[in-house]
Amino acid sequence: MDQKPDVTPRTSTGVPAEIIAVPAIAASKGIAKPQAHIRMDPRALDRIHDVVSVLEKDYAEVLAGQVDDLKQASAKLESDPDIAQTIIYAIAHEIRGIAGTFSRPLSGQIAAHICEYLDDATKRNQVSAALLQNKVEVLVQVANLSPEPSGVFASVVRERLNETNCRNQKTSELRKAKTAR
Amino acid sequence: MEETNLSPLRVLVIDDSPQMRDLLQGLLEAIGINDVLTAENGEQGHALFLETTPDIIITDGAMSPINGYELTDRIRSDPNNPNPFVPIIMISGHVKDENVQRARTSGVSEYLAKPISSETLYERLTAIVGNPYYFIRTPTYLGPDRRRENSDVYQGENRRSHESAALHDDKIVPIEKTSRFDFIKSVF
Repeated sequence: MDQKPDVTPRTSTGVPAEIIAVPAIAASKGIAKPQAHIRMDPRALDRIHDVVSVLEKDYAEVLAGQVDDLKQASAKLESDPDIAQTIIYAIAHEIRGIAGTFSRPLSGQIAAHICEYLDDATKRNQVSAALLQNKVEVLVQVANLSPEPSGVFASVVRERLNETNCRNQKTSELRKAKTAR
Repeated sequence: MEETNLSPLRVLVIDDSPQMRDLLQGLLEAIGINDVLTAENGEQGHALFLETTPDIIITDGAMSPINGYELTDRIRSDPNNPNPFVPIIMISGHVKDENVQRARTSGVSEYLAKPISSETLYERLTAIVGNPYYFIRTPTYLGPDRRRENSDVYQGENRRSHESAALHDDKIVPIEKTSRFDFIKSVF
């Protein structure tokens, strides 16, 4: 894919933009000749899969530790909500970032769901400790399963999580409406 | 076919998650890049960048004390920087429009959503290493040229001329017509 270097871009300040051609790293480092195409190598892909499968085993232990930390934080949601929520968010953020790479997409999706819930509910100042505990419990249960379930089971888990969010939102709207009356 | 030797490359990996650093280091070593430097946050990463001038930076978005966006700002705007054009791949769990826009205005070269696929990362790396690229410098921005076009002027050998004729058929979309950023957001 080529870029279009022959048109001077306009800038908001009226100063013409400078276009700088940067040579391919492969050419400047002597890895390949200029114009040569570097392709993905199937041998490298095989090695990549080997690395991922080795790291996957290590990750199972890391995830088990994170699940323990989640349980502890979840237990403190009533007594120390701010700190517990911060810890839960941090762990869920870690899990959502990496679990999918190590064949645990459902755990990653539930963790992402928890982060989204906390982002949204914190903005509205409506974090429900009970609801968050339920979501954490779902993540704990799924993360403890090996291999992780997929297919219909995974779809049902995702649907149920979304349903609980909607239900919670409706309940809080009803409460607000009642208070306004 | 001889495997491309990527060992002359030096890559700087910046991520606050030790698992992510291990994963990225392992993946880079698997494709033959053994000179991998790691840092836990943007501040450490910036110091290491100035000290070692890597060929490519792979960074997380959200980190403290300096995040990936601020790091990119620093690298692109520092007049004393030895390589302001260094390709920066950002791998982030935050994929909202505002985050992608922020990455774009900072001058990030590629934006990958977590969880990453190892194949996708390899694909981006080969594209970055193998292709020349353009940068735009304005009073307020230094970063990759986002304008793209599909050139008909190919200077190499036409080994598949019978296929290239088929590519002009409107019903067939050539691979080249998919943007490098299609995988996540079309705003790039």
